[in-house]
Amino acid sequence: MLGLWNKKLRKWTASVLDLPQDVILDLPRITMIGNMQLYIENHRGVIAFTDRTLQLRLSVGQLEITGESLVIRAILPEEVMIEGTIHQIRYVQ
Amino acid sequence: MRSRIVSFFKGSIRAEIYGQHPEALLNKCTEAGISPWDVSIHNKTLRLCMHVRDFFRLRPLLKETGCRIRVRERKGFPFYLNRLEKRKTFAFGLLFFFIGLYMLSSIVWSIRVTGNESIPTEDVLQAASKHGVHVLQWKFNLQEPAKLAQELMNDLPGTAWVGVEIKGTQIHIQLVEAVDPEDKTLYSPRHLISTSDAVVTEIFTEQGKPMVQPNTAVKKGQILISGIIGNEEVPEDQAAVTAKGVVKGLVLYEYKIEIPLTLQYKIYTGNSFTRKYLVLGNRGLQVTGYGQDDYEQSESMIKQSYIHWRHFKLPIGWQDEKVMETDIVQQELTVEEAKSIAMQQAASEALMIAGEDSTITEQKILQESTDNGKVYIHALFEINQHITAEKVLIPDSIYRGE
Repeated sequence: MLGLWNKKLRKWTASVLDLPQDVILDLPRITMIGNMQLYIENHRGVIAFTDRTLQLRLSVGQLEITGESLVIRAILPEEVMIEGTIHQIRYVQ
Repeated sequence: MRSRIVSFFKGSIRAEIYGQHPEALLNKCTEAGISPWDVSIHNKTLRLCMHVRDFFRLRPLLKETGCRIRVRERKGFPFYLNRLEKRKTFAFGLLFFFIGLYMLSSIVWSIRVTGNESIPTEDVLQAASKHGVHVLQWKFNLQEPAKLAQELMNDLPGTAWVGVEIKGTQIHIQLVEAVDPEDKTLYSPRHLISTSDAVVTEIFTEQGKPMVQPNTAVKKGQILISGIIGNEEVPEDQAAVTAKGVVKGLVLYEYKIEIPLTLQYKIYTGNSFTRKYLVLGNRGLQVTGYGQDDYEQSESMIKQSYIHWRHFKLPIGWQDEKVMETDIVQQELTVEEAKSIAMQQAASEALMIAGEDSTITEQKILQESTDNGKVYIHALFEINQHITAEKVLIPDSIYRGE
């Protein structure tokens, strides 16, 4: 109950102060350049990784990326940069 | 995200990791602050790159996840150092090269002296070497340029300014020479006397007492301007001065001249040919001009040109020899022509003896005769010239009164 209130308060703050949602709500920010490069901020770790799929844990749910010859170009505690041919990005609850 | 230069100096590795859950390792890595790059998976093999320092922190994580690692590639500066340790001679050579380069560039290789006109460059170099400035000297043995310049200036009289500049391995010494005022010659008290028997034409006294007037006939050695001034009667009132002035007079010159009535000239006939030589060292190899007969009388003009490279003269060159035919021509003179030539010769000779500022006022032929193909002339020249000479005055009775 308290968590819900907290979330609502944050959402309200974000809309009132005109701040980006990801800053307030701890959501991932996903930047994509064509289908070649993908930059994900605010992830919570790698669940599975092959050259065809990459599953990332998020604060809420997971993110599943499918493509071909995927390579993690760089990985930091909260950021990951992926290169390859990206076909699909899917949120999994 | 990752600077190539930084990772070069830190050193990086490319490794392959084998294990059941490489993703778990990846997560643990990022949690521990290790950030690998270029991560890819092929057949359960995780390939990644990381910094060397991170590699050593990876060890316990590998144990936790039960993975094994194999390093495939090593890149960067720390590995170069490692390799260098194995190639000691090479490392030593590299070091030696840099030391050599440094040493050679801290030696004075040349000294350039500019701005000197009357002071010889050798003198400047000698003075400089006294203060340690010479070729093959260490630059760090040299004193401050300003101090050197000061000392050089003290050692080189006649310089108004000396500048020393060190330009790499060259030392540039610049001089500005002092322009000394002309020394004034000191004169002792003197008379001006006549150099020869003459008739005075003009006298201008700057200092002293004139003893003659225009149109006075003077003997050789006679005082023209006296250096003793004052009352002749009273020796105490007299003083000795340096007589100065201009005295000109008419001097007679007698000449006996003989001149042949035939003159011989050497002339070029206009015929010539050229021989060309290839010069090697001090030997000449004739290339063209063969088959030409030498002339009976000839003169040759030689022109040599050598190959130069920068300021070096190479011992290879080319020589042109132009052989020109000459002929001797005899010219018959009339007595009148011979006379005028003789007078001209005598006049120019007399004027030369008379010195500068002299003019011929009169010339006379006293006697002439023609004999044996020659003209004999006895001529007289009257020349208006300077007739003064100095005679030092020995002051004996003059200063007695003082």
